This record gives sequence, C-alpha cells and structure tokens, in this order.
Amino acid sequence: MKLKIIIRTIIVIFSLLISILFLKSSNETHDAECKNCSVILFTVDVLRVENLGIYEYPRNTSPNIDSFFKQGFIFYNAFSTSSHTLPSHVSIFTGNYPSTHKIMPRANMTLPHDQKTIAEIFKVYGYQTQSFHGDDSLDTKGAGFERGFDNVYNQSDNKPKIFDFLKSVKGKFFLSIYTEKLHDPYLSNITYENMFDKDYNGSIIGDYDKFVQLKKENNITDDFTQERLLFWSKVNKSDTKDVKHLIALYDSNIYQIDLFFGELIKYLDDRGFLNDTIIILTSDHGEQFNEHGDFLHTKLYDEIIHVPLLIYVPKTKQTVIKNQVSLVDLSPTILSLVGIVPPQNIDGRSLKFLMGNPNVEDKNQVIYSEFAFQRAIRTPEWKFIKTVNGTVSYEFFDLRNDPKELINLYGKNVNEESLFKQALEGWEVKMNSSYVNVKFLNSTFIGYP
Amino acid sequence: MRNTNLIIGFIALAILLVLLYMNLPQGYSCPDCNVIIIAFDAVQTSHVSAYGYPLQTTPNLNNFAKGGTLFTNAISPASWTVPTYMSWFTSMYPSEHKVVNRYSEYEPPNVTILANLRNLTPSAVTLAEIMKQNGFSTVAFTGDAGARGASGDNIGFDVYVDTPIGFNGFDLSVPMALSWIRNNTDKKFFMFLHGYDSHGQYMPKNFTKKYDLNYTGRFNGTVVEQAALREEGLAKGYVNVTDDEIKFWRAWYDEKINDADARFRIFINGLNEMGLMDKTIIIVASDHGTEFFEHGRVDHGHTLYQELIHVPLVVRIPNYSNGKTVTSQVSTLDIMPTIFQIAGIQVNDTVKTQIKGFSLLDAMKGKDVSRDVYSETDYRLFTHKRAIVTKDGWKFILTLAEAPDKKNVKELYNLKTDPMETTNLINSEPQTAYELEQKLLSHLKEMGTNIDGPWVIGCSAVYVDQCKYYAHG
Repeated sequence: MKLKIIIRTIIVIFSLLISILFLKSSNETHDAECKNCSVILFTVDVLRVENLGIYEYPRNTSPNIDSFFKQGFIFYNAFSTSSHTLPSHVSIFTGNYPSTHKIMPRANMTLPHDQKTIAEIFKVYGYQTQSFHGDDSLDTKGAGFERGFDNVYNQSDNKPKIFDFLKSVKGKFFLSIYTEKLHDPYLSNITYENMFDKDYNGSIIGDYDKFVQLKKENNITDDFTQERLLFWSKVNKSDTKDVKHLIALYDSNIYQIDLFFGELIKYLDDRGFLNDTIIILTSDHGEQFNEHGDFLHTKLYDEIIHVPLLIYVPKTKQTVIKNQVSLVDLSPTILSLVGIVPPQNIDGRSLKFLMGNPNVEDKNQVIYSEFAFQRAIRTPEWKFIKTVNGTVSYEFFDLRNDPKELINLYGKNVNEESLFKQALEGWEVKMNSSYVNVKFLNSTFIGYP
Repeated sequence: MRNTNLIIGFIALAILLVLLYMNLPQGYSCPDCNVIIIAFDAVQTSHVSAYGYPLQTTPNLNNFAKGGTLFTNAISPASWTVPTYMSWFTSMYPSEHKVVNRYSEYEPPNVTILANLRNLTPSAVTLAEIMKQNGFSTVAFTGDAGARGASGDNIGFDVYVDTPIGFNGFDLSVPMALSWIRNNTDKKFFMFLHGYDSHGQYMPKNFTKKYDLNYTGRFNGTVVEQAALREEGLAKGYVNVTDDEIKFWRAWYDEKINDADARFRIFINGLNEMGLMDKTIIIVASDHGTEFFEHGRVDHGHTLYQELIHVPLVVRIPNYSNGKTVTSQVSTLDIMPTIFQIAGIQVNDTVKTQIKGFSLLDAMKGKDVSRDVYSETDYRLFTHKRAIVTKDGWKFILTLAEAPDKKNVKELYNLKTDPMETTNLINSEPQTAYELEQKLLSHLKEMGTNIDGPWVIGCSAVYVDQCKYYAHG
C-alpha cells in the first residue's frame, strides 16, 4: 500500500518536473519569424510619422493602414539615414549609411557591386522579385535599384500591374512598391483636395486639374522643377492658413495612398496571402511644414528623419517597439525574418531580437543621419547636428525637454556635448565621410523658389 | 496494479539516471602520462601512405597509427609554419594571436621588429605554460626557422632548442630528445619534437631519387632550386615546369618524407626501449602541407588550398582506441584542449574563452564532431587569404589581397565532387557562395578583423634574402 503511494508520488513529481521544463521553454519569447513568407515592402516617399493615425495623429488620414498594422510591430522611433530620397532609399536597400554606399543626388556614383541589395539577396535565394516605383530618383543609373529584380516598373500608375503580378505569382516573392505621391507639388484629385481643410480660400492651387491649367497658362512643360516652382509661387509661406492648407493637401494624399493600401490588403486577404506574407510600410524621410522655418526636406531635424516603420508578420500580435532604430537595420531585419542570414559587413543589424522581446536591453540605440553638408547623431535623449557649409556650426538638443529641437544648447556647457561631438566626429573618420559643399546643391534642386 | 506501478516507477527512475549519466563529465584521462607532440613539418596528407598514398612513404607512421586514432579530415588554421605552431600552442586563430609573419613590422633597414606573442597578444596563455603549471617538465626540440623560440613559441618551456640556425630535421632533434628523456626520468614531461625534414628548405641528407630513378632533367633537388621556384611562383602567379619536372619534385618530397618517417621510427623505438609507450600520450601532426604544382606553384603559405591545409593527425592514448579512424572534420586547434582533457588538466575561464578548439576525445569515442573550420594566411605580406571549410565539404576562399594586383577575389569549391579544387563555383552556386561568405565574414568579425582595412601587399621577409621581387619598403 505504502509502496504504491511512494511510486505514484515519484511519478507525479517526475511529470511535474518535466512539465515545468516544457513550460519554461515555451515561456521564452520566440523571435518573430516566417521562413516560408514572401515579403512586400511599401515605401512611401515623404511620409511623416506624425501624420499617420496609428501614430496618434488627430486626423483620420490612414484608416486602412491603422487597422491593418494594429496587429503588427509598430516602431515608434525609427529614423532614416538621410533627408533625401536617393541616399535614404539606397540605405534601405543595402543596409548601409550614405557614407558607405556614397550614392548622392546628381553625383553620378555607381553602387559598388560588393554591396548587395536586398533584392539581389532574395534573388540568390530563388525568390521572384518585382519593383514598382514611379519616381525619377529610383531610376537613377548606378544607384542599384534595378539590381536583383526580375522586373522593374516605373510608370506612374502601377496599380494594375501590381495586382496582375499578385494574381499570377507562384512561389515566394519580394515585392517592392514605392510611391512619390506625397511629394510636392501637393496636388490632389478634386474629390479629396479639401477634405481636411474645407474652408480654405487662399491662393494655393491644390487641385490637379486646376494645376494643369495653371501650367498651360504659364507655358510650363512637364518639368518637375518647373512644376514645383510654379506650385510654390502660389504659396504664402508666412501665412499660417496657407501652411495649414499645405498640410491638409499633404494629408489628403496620405488618405489616397491609404485607400490603395486598403485595396491591396483586401486583395491579399481574399487570396490567403496574409498567412504567408510579411508586409512592411516605411518612408525614406519626412517633410517640414515650417518647423524651424523651413519647408520640404533638406535638414536633419526629427520632422524629416523620424519615419514610420510598421512590420506585419503573420501569426504575431501587436507589439510596440520604442527602441530607437535606423533604416539601415531594415533589410537585415527583413532577411532574418525569413530565415536568410543578412550580410555581415553592413552598417545595419537585424532587429529580430527586439521583435521577439521588445523589453530586452539594447545598448545600441545610437543612430546617424546625413546629407551633403550635415551629419547628425541621435540617441533617445540627445541630438547633435554638425553643419559644414563654408563654416562649421553645431546644434545640440535635449530631446526629453525639447523634443521639437528649438533650443540649441551647443556651447552652453552641457556635460554630454563633448561626448556627442567626439562620437559624431569619430564616426565620420570611421566611415571616411566627407561633407559636400552646398554649392553643389543649387536652390532649384532643393526646391526653394 | 502494484506491479504496473512498480514498473512505471522503475522506468521513471531509470530515465532519470540515464539523464544524469549523460550529463556527467566523461572522458579517458591519464594524468600521470607524458605528453609528446611530434610535428612533421610540411607534410601533405595525400603523400602519407596511411591516408591512401600509393607509395609507401610512411611505413612507420602507418604502424604507429595502428596503435592510435587516425584523423582523416584535420584542417590547419594556417598554411605555413610561423602562425600555425603558435595556433597549436594557444588554440587561437592567427588573427587572434597575431603572430602572422616573422616580423610584426618590416621596413628595413630601420624598422625590423620580430613578431612575438608577448608583445602582440600579452593576454595569451600557452600550452607549455599550462603544462608547466600542472607539474610537467616542458621541453622542445625544434628545427629553428619558423619554429624559432623568439616568436614566443618557447614561452612556458623549460628547455627550448632551436639551434643551429636553419631548417633542421629529426636527424638532429630526435637524438637530443631521446638523450634528454634518458637523463630526466624523474618527472612527467611535455615535449614538442619537431623536424623540417620534409620542408622545401631542408636539404636531403642523401638524395637517391628512389621515387623517380629515371629523371635526368635540369634539376638536382637542391634547396636553392626549390627556393627559386618558390619565388618565381610568388612573383608571377605560376611557374613554368614540365610534367617530368613535377614528377621529379614530388619524388624529392616523397623521399624526404620517407627519411623523416625513418627518423620517427628511431624515436619511437627509443621510447619503447625505455618502456614509455604505455605511459605517454603521443600526438603526431603536420603544421601544413606543401604544394607541388597542384595549383601551378610550389611551397606553402601562398594559398589555402587543401594540399596546404589538410594535414595528417594521429592521436595515440595508451591502451585506448587502437587503429580507429575518425573522419569528422576537425582543426589542429583541437590539439591543445585534447591534451588538457586526456591529462586531466582543468583550466580557468579565461583560458577556456581563449581556446577555440575542441577536445578530440568524443571523436575518438566514435561521436561525429564534424564542424565548419577556418583557415588563414598573410604569408610574408605577399597575400592575405581567409577560408572556411564546411563540414559538408564546401570550401570558400576569400583573397583580401594578393600580389601583384588581386583584391577581394572569391572562390568556391565542392570538395566532395572536386577535391582538387579545380572548378570555381562562385558564380554557379550563388546561394552557397553567399551563405559561406557571410559565415566567414562573421567569423572574421568575431576575431576583430576589419576587412575594409587596407590590406598591405609588400614583403615581410622570413629569410634575409627575400623580398627582392618586391620593391616595397
């Protein structure tokens, strides 16, 4: 009798021990992963993080994006590597900072072939690869955007081709969709033009058809620079009503992009793609609307370099990630998520570890950003910007107390200043980074009339 | 009812015990045994009869291997002497111990600083130091040149013989070793016994052309001729020799190996006579092989092809694993931790972190320990190469730079289907190429190598009269 009890006790204890072991291993966080997934990368040029609903924007600019990525990984502090499309986008594709890949607007550089793009790597692994973009800058010869893609479509309306591709694709694919619809001139279909600013009665021409008319009247051809100059000639930058309207036009274009996104998701969902497709939404940089007295995107303030980064991985749940990351980390992350080892010799790192455990300690929260005559280094607490434009000037911001970067603390005896200055200058040396004289960028290039 | 419970209980207990047993430290140890490493410098595995070479070049080594374990897939971490013995003595890769050339700085006539482990990697602990700390007398009888003590090879050795200056063989080191043993029977000893007998710069004592009696060409088989061929290959990238000449030089090599094997027998006989075979752990290996025109050139250090890095390795533990063969791919970095495990030596955490090899004891028990291994060379600043050999037989070689003008060249070989490495698959197997490149780069990153750094091509002489082809300072 007693023996029975003893033996039963042994068995119970033994089973308990084994189940504890099992539970322990299943409680460990599993990294986000989907080895048989395809990948869709949706990059929206000029998209500011704060103008998306999912990032708590008061306007309902992006209902479809918001509801879709509610179940995804929401990166609150992702930063682009540059304020301009070309270098930033090459960073997304290569995992390298602009000082490494050296692709700059109008510089006629060729991306070195030992810097493999994410498309090339997907191609090596037998994925079908397609790129849909409608912008001149991604057509830039030498930048490497065509490398690794089976097909590159650069018409302005790629939508039908995108759906054609999805209809017929078999096997794993990497799809890159890029839109420059948010870029100035901020023109909109009349249906949407005033949706966020109905009472506007100023001089800005935001209606696409009216603008075409305006062009004719002014004998302006389809030259992008001319179009921009014409648009801005109708803008009174010192009038807050005009600034508000610019934002409203901009937001209405986000809304239209969001409509497309909704269609895309519905299409994917109806055909079961959402079970085995990773979907990423990001931007190459933001835009200024009179913050710091500037418009468009040249400087390295947060309104330009702070970008949305939303990643949907099937069978995962909403995860907010507050760690500061850089878009150089995006392609190694995407590759890791599908089980491909990312290139070892790039500036970026895989964030898969973070996605599996957002509370993990991450000591590497330093990012850099650069364009031509500026370099910036940023941590969650501090931002240090160096400008070399004839003379050298510095800006140093305490981001916890001055998130809008209005109070330049450089030279005001803040202890951390020298640390950041040294860190930035050390990085410049390590990256063999050289400043480009602003003369190289004339005013029409930047877009200021 | 009761019986069933009893059975279940016993099974549970048995499982528990098995689990416990599997986790207990295991191993054969012989803490009172002597330990000898015998290094046949420069012997290519495929010229050793125990590995299937049709000529009977090494009857004594074959015999010896019958009493031990023959490793058929041992890879060296480097392809020439200077970095390799330092790797054996530290179980670190050359990039880590940093003794990668004879000189660490070479800008004659003003700056010629000999590479020394103490200066380059002061934190490294050597095999001899640890053996000494554990009660062994530590002695070395070497043939000088690349095994010269001044590099730091002598650290931890009570006795380190590297004279006379030159490339000396077992003909000198074996008698010294036997004599020392005879006069020092009181303590257990750790010995490094080395001979350059098979090396290209070792002049054979009595060259009979026994493996190529009919040769009547321009070569006499002198070290001067061999050196000239070596330098020609380094300067041009290839050497112009006929098939007959290739046959001759291989015969020259085989005869030297055969001579070394005979001298090895004298040493083993000596140990036998002293009754030490049952009390001594003996490891026989080569630091690297020698190319004899398999890839168009002669000598070693200049590439990382299998003829240079696939080395013979035999481990003999008294009364243990006789005549076994291990086919798992291993590295000669494993020699040091193997010795520790067999000798029952515990090392602290610092040394554990330093050691990059793994004990071969599990392999000798029949476990498959095959793993990816790495190799590198920066031979005389003439070339900088890094390679990975995977356990599946894929080989990826990255040439960071090589004289005169190679930069960032990649090679991929399938050793199973192309063991002679004749067909570069770098373009036809892009996925394997990519994956292996990332593995190699990751390994280099772990060692702190910056592959974007400037890879200097110049000349770091090993002998005084080198560098005449290179006008670099």
